[in-house]
Amino acid sequence: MKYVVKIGEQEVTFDYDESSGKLTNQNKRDVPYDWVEVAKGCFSLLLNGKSYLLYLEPSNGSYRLFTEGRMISASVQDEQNLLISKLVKAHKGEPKEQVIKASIPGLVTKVFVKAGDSLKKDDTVLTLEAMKMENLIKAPCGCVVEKVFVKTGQTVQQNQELVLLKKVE
Amino acid sequence: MFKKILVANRGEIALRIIRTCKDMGIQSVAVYSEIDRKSPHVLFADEAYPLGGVTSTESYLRGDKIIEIALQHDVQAIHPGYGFLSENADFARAVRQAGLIFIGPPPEAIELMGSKTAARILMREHDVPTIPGTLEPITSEREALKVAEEIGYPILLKASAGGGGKGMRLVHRAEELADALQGAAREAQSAFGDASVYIEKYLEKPRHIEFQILADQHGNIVHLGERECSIQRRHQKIIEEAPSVVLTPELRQQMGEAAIKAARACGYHNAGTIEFMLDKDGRFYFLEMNTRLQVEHPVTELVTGLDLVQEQILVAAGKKLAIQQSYTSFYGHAIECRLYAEDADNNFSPSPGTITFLRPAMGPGIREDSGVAEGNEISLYYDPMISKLIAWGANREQAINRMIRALKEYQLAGIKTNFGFLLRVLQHPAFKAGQLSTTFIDQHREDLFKEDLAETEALALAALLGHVKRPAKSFKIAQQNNKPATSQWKIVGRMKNAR
Repeated sequence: MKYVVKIGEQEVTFDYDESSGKLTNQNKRDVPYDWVEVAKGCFSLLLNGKSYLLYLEPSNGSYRLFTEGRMISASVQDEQNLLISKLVKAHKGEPKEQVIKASIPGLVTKVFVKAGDSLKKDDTVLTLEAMKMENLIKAPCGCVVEKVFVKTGQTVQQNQELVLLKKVE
Repeated sequence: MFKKILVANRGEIALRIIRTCKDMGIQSVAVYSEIDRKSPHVLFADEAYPLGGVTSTESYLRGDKIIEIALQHDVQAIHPGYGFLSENADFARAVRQAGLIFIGPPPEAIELMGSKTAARILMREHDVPTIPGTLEPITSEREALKVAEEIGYPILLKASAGGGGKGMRLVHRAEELADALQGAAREAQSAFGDASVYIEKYLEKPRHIEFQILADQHGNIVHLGERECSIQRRHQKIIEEAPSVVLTPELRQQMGEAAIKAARACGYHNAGTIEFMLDKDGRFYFLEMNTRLQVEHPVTELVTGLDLVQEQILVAAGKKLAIQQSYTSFYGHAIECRLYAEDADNNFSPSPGTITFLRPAMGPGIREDSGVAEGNEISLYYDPMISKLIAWGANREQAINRMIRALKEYQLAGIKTNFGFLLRVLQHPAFKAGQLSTTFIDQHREDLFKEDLAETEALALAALLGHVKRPAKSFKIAQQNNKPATSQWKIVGRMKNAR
């Protein structure tokens, strides 16, 4: 079965044989690996003699890898899944709207935008105070503000919707 | 000597103080909020009593409750640690009035040095160099504009009652001043309950150099050398070291004498720190005095061989200092990294969560002052610091290499941490060369916030193996409690949204 692993923006393809456990990389070369679980969720990988120690955590259908001070998000998809998501994409196209949510619970100290405003990438949308720190929420790309869901002085929960932005092509 | 000490704090510093109590044969008493029941400071203290509440205001800031607990359980002295009530003169006074001993300076000294403006006036009177700026809090925007004009941009707005980078703003131009003034005042109000802000000249690429002092109640004061704390983000220190690469013996003596003068000026006893800014030309300016033990005290401990918490306890018990200035010497080099639950790529915003896996680093020259255990939650209610790693080496290079080794060896999962960012700083050629300033992170932004693309194939392989070799049901168990397992279709949809 063919698998595509996404690490950040990069994709790596492997072929994994379920019955033998054999792995080949995208150049059809055998990948000699040794994989053991040393503690719950903590794995040792020996790859061409090089030793890696990492912790793997399933998170919402993908994985978070913790190793050498880094936290890396990875998603693994097999051929069937890939096919499905391609079909879905073709049907829907890329999303043009984005809802910005609060990553942490806190207090909205100031809203700088209103519906209809045009923003450049990194323009400040609002300030959210949490842990006695002011966090600036910035526009991820050039966009227009469709809707503002919160007011200055409002307390928000984690993942609460703050604003709806529409990408400018 | 005291038979029993209450530690009015939580996390790593509470545990740090409890350990010294044990070393000295003194009983220790912990206090805890509702969510800290499983925290190590509770588990390792001899006794522990609940404060109730969750937020700091409901728990660790309840001086009245803390004093009541102390009186009920035959405690003779209270150690406030850092943060919370450590620089609260009213609390120090209330402790004294209850017939207990506050392990720290006299309340009058806390008050004098706690008002940053009063402190600067006092320093000017005692010939300790200070930075140009206002000595009184700013009362209007017009006044702020006028002062800024006089001393010249860029200027810094700072909270009179504050520290830790809260209520601080850097202003480059007159038109930015009004907004910055409002932001700083608002932050100061919410962090310290006091909105007053003052102005100070902003120095270009200064170093933050601070001096540790110890003073007994018999008029003896010594300094224990400097700590360089120039590596800061959001105006908070993240890497500290002792000694500093730029201090000559002459400059060390000058700054040390100024630090002792500052301590004498406010009638200080116990451990304290005088913070200076050192400009590019080797001129130093008094910044503020911290009238408590500091987060970065371990680097001084490692190069002097002293236990500063023990020194604090001895001074509070009325003992004379055993060390004399002429005998203080420094051995080797020490570096501390503050390990935070935060997202370095997202403006260092706090990243709370549960520590699902924890295996600390060990080996030669490594000390860890931690206050968390596996399964503990880093909550939104307190500071997001997880722990402190301190490395000692015979010289700076060895200390850095040991710190890098320890950070890579340290296994912690479940939350985003700043370990990767710390590693990038420590491995940066400018850091290795000792070219430090408080603007280091901004200056080297391009190198420090680069995405690390190393080892992608190995990481991808690990994710794949974890995926194909996991026991059939583990994925469902890992799902949120009792939610039905997600269909592949939904996962596809989610992944799409996550891009």
